[in-house]
Amino acid sequence: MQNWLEFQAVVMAAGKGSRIPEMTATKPKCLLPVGNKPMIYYPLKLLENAGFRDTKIIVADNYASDIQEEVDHLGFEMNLSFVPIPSDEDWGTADSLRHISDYILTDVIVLSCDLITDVDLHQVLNIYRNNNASLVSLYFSPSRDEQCVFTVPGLKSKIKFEKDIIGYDSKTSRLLLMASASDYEETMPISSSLLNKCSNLKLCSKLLDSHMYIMKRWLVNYLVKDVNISTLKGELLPFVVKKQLSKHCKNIEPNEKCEDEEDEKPDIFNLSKESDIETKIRSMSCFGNTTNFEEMIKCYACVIDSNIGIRANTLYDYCRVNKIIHKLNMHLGEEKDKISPEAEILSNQFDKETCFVGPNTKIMEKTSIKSSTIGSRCTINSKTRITDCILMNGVTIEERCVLQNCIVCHDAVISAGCELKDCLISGSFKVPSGGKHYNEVLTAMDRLMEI
Amino acid sequence: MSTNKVQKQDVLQAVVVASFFHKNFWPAADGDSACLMPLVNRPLLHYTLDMLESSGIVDVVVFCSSGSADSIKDSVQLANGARRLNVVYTTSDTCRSFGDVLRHLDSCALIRNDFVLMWGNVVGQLPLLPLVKRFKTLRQSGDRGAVMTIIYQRSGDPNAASVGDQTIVLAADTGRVLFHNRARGKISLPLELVLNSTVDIRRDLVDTNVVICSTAVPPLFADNFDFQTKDDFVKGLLINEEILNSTLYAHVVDGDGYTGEVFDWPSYQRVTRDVLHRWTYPQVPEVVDKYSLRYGNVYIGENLKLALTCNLGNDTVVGSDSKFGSGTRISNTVIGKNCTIGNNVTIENSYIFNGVTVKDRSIIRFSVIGDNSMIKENSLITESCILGGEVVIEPNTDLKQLQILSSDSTNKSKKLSAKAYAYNAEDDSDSEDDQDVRGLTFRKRTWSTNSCSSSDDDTASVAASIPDDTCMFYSEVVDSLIRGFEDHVHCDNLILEINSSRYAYNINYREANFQVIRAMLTLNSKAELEALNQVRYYTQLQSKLDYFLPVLRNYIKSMDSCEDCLSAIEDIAKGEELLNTVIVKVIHHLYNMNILSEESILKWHEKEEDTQFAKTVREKANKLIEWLKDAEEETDSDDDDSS
Repeated sequence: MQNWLEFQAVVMAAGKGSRIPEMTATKPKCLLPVGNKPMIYYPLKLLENAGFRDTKIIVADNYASDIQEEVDHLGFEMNLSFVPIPSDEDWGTADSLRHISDYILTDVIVLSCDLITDVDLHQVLNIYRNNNASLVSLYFSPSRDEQCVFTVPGLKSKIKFEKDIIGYDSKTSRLLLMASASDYEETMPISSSLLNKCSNLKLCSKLLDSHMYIMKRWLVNYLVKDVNISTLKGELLPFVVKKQLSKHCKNIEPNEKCEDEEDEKPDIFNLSKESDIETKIRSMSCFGNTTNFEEMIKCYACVIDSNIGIRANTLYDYCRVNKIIHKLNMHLGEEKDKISPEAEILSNQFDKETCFVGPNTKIMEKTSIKSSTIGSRCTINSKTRITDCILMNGVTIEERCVLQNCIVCHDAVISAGCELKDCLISGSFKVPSGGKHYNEVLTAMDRLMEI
Repeated sequence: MSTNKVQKQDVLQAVVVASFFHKNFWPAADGDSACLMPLVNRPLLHYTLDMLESSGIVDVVVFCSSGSADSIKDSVQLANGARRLNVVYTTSDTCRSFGDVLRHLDSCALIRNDFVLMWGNVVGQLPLLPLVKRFKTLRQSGDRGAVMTIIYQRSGDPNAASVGDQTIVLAADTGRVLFHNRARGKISLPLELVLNSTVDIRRDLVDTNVVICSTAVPPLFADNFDFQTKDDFVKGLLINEEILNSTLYAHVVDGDGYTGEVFDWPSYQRVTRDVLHRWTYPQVPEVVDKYSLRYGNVYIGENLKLALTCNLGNDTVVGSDSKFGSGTRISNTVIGKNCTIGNNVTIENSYIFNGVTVKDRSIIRFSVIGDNSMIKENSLITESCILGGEVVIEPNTDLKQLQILSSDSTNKSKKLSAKAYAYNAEDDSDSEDDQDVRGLTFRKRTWSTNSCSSSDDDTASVAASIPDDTCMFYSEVVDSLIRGFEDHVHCDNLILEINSSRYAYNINYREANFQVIRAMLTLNSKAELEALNQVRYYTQLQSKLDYFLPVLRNYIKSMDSCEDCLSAIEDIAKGEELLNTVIVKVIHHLYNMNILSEESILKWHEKEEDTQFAKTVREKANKLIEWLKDAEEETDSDDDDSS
């Protein structure tokens, strides 16, 4: 059957959440709640809003049924198909993409399940289309206005940002350099071929990589050929970006030679060749610029600074996104979705504006709840004060508790009289009564050990 | 009285340095009065003063050397813009550089406020007052240490050869200059810069030589007596940022003005073209002088006598009172006032100054003819000839790439005729080695695509792509060997030196072998090579190899090292024609000295290579191989006999 699709979408949701092991020990990262929805809702919604009808979701096989069940409840209209990958083997994003390469017939857009943004996807797609790009990567400028100052629950640790250095042409936003600051010691060499290529290069170290990539089909072909590449961001992208600068054999004769010699390392330029019909279309068309048409690999960066974009892959970002999620102008659904009608709220001090409450949750009288996200099946007993907290599903909080700026994972129990500030309580943990904890991670030790 | 003083405080000054400390325009104009050299029949300095006048500056300090002070004063009187300017002259005999001028300004205490500093060679149109204002607010509110805003012009064509001779790194948000490099090659940025802020690496910027300075600049020059040029200043400030507590900012002119700087012949060509193409409006010929503009940027002066059949092509200026004969064709050329051009003369892409006479059937291309020169019949002057004033070229002369004076003053000139002496640049090695004076650009630029230029980088010989440590090791070895050869250092000491560099740069054994041989074969500098012919080159090389025999013995011992040695020879020969011609001799010589073993040469020869070069080299070596094989058999048979 002829496939008329322009793009196919893939959401990578098999990430283990290794940066937040306290929360992901028993629950997949993509199901951690952000607002009243699991994290994976946001990239899927982004795709649906952009008009995608089919989406593939890569999930780890041990959580596949959990995720499928929960995503089915979210009520998406588009077709979602789940592709399980083995969770015990360490598969990278490129491995996953290679795994489903047979299903990918068109250009592909890859999203990460922890991307939360209100950017218009068409803006990014248009950059891809305008430039006839091989690859487009989306970046966010660091948010300047909302300097969220808050304490991250759990142990006090310095927030370490990974410093990636991105270099792109200021005018064309062609992506020409990808590196990590840790690759260099004191100085950073910039090759002359790069400088010749681009006379106005902008180097940024503070951009946030959204891990959203749009790429041509032949890049997937390349992935299939080169099995050594296991991640998109870490290996494929720097490689492709770098290849833009190197020359390629134009005539056929050396090409044949290349094939003879390099049987294990496929030549990326052979794959990137445009088909005859494309060449003809281009030569006959009067549109488009002809300046760099001979280049076969063209990577572009889409740098967006007006919109909100967060990757909730660290504790800091996860807390941040939960604190600002109700301010975002995103389609979080109706008011009834925000505070579920099936919830029983008897509280007298309940701030409707800043709270989310899931279904089947019971909040007793004489409670005070502010700026908190409360999942489903929770029970909050009376004489309890909760501010700036995230309570996941099935949490039970007994009487006379005070929780401030805490994350309570699913099915945890906070016994009576506890006073917790800046704490992280891991899944199914029972905090003994009367305990006072500040800046701690409360977890059953053995469970954390196995990670 | 007091109000007067207050007003004086606020006045914005401009300093124009009207003395170039280079001889780029010699002999058409000499260093002191080069700013009076005509550009489109108007002294350069007039453009500069007009630009200041139109941007609203009143007080101008003109610096000139005392020799040219009078002529500059006279000329300024005539300038249109200067009428509303309050020009003050300052002269000095001791100044030899830009830095000296600023030190002179500091000692004269002429500067009372933030000022605009420029050379007297800037042509253009730029609103300076807003820039000065921005600089002032920056100093008051943002960065008190800001001492200078450098104004750059974004070049239109990023591939042009004249552009991109500097790499500038600016902070994206503030425009602060963080890094400056004159070289075109790769750069090494301190990682700190990149991590602290978003930076722009710009290669598309051209100097305008207009800077806005605070009063702190002249004292900085006075304190740092090693600052000679603006580049020294920029470099010194960037290196000692903390100590000097001074920062630099850049402003990029892009669309809000035009500035061009005339510092050598290529830039003269470029700015002339821009003036004719009206980028400098209102400083265009028909506005500032009495010209009439015709289609195709042809500017025609008054009182011309043009023959009916003479043909004026595009981008041409003809000064007033000139006479053209019949059948004369002129295009892309500026012709001065009072010129007489005969019949059937062709002039293309040239600059003819005032009062020049060109006789019949002469051809002038890509050349500059100084004031009042005379070109007699049937002469051919092409490819960047620069003629000084008052030169007389005899009939039927054919000149290329020469600088010609009217009288022999230096004793280094070759006499062409009574009033034409060709200056021989090659013999003049003692004085101006470092100064590379560029003539007019006369070759058509070959269109090279980006992919081609980058491919050169990729495939160039090993030198370009080897990692930095190896590069450093290689250059140290070259240094050691050159010094060793010149000072007759004992080879054992050289080996010691090389070994210590080997450890310093962590070079493995085989790599070291390879690099030592490469170094040994590349001891001659480019200039030396050109002077040598094949035979002399080989004898020199041989003597060097003989001298370094102990070094060779030390490094080339095993089969593996022989292999390294051969591949090093091959690598160098690939890049160097002279060695390529004698490569077989070199290998043979090394064999005779018992450095290379027979088997290694044979093995090298048998190795299958697929590049064209490697094949030809092996073909060349065929004879040697045959001889070797014969010798082998002989020795074998000898052995048989003896046994």
